[in-house]
Amino acid sequence: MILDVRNISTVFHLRRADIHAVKDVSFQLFKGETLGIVGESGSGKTVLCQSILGLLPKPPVKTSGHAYFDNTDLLDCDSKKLRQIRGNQISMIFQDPSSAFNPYLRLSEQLIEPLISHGYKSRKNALEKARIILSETKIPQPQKRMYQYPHEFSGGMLQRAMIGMALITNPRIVIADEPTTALDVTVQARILQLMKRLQNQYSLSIIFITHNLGIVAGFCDRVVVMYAGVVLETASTADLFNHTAHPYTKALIKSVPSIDNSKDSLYMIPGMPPDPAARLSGCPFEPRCRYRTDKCLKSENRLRETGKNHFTSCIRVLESELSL
Amino acid sequence: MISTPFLHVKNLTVSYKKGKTVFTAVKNVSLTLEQGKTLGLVGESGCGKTTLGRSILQFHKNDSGQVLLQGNDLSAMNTASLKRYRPLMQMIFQNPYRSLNPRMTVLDILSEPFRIKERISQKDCIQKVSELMLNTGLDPFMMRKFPHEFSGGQRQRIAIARALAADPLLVIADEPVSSLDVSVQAQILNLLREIHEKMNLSMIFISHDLSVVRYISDDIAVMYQGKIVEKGPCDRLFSNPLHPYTKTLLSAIPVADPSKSFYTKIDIENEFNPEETKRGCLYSNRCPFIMDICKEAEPALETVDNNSNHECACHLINSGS
Repeated sequence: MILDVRNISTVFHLRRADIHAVKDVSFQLFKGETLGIVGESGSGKTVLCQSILGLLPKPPVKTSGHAYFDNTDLLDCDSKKLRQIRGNQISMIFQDPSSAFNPYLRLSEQLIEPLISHGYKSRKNALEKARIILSETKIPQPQKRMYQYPHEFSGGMLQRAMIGMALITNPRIVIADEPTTALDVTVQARILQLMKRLQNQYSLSIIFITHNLGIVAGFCDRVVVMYAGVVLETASTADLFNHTAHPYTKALIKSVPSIDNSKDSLYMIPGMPPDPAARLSGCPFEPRCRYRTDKCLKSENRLRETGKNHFTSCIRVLESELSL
Repeated sequence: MISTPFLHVKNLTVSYKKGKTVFTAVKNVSLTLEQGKTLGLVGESGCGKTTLGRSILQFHKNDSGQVLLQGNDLSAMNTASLKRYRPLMQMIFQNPYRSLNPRMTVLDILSEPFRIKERISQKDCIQKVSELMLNTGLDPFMMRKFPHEFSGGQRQRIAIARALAADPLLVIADEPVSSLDVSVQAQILNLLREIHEKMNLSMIFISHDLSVVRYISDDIAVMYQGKIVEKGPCDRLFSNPLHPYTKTLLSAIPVADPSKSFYTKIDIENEFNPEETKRGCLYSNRCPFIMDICKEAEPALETVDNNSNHECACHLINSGS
């Protein structure tokens, strides 16, 4: 196990209300594994990862829980220690490559920044390393392209460069926050293939945040499904799709547009995710769930095992009233 | 054809000029759209699909060719006479976070189209805006709110309502769902389809994702580097895709099935490089089935099957092999 996240809760203390963005989330990440975190926007998946890396401003944010990385609790170490780990052993790939880079700096400066700030002395060696990483991410003519500015690259190319930047310090964990959402389907396919190849080469563990279960199906080993700040289901990818154990997961799978099934029925989940400021009891998906009963609101929303390493919070599935 | 089609784009060429460099974004494109039908326009970013959409609405002047709306050539009109046609053609933009003025309330945004068209009392105005909001699945009580108070899906509903406010005949939707979550995407697609059927609109739906286009289109045109490479009825194009590029687009779609890994079939080395293809087929530098003739001559868009209007521009198909 490389990362052990236990009972993380994140609260934004705002003037108007307390927003409970992440509620009591636990998961483990193993070496060489790809873990998918899936949910709609506002489900807390990005905040969860930012909380682990200490990227949120405190106050107004208050985070509780533990995240053990190599016997270090990331949530309980001082900022100096955290800075040694962040960007060095755990790095991040952001959603929109065109806004994640600094438009005023050449790519080369931004690529070597993680190296320099983690004690790399030789600028010349760092630049050489940047060139190598760019050629590994399949950017043509890296020697020339690395001295260009971000606006001279296409979206797909910039995302490649950002993957290179995340890998340049030889990290053990990469957190990819919707890395392909802003890209075309064909470019997306290429980026995913590249990430898979580099993952094997560097024996990386990847946390892959997305809202599209179609991507998860082909890319991740294990999946955590989040909704309104809580985890509703976790399972291996095969179990999640073949033995789905939560109505929300089922609905997400069905809403992926496909070229195989009937043209006339595009499934949609009715309603909207709950207001994050509201404190809910029972299952948070209850108002939108087509299988809801009275006891869904009364029961405690807690993950329990339904198969080997397969956890769900749906009370009706757990009591075998419902099979999806 | 004896009867005039609703929209007829004839040999349209559009280019951008910067100093001495000329970039031709749309190259000799022809298409027709019948009243009440939807055309899906598919391709990667940079292929010219947005430019084509915008030049149909005369946001860009075209270099050559014609845009005929109900037989009237829009590209030959001056600004004053175009003004009469503007309300008939509306656009839905890609990013609902940028296409709505943050300083206008929903009421202002949605009433502007008919305020421009005619003088209208405040009471009628509110009445009409409420109807629009109800039709697009929004709560009329929220009409005094500002765009930032809405979620992405709701903002796209506002953008759709604004496009409908002028009672258009033609709506061009430029990637209306690509910045939304899959679950919200499904809601917006269903809404567009419902409105389209109810109002008998003609629509051009631009997207890079064939699986999204499929739910809404009657016909599909696939664009590559400014040209249409394959065109045909929706069902036909999915059951029997012919052009290698269409097949690539289809194989890149994520499938919610762990036994199929969609991304491994894509060739990782072949990145789009416009400088290489100056002669012959534009797709030849990426095509896995390249033949000698592909580097020499550019294939023309030819009818493959007379019964179904399926057209394709590929030597592999057109030579009959």
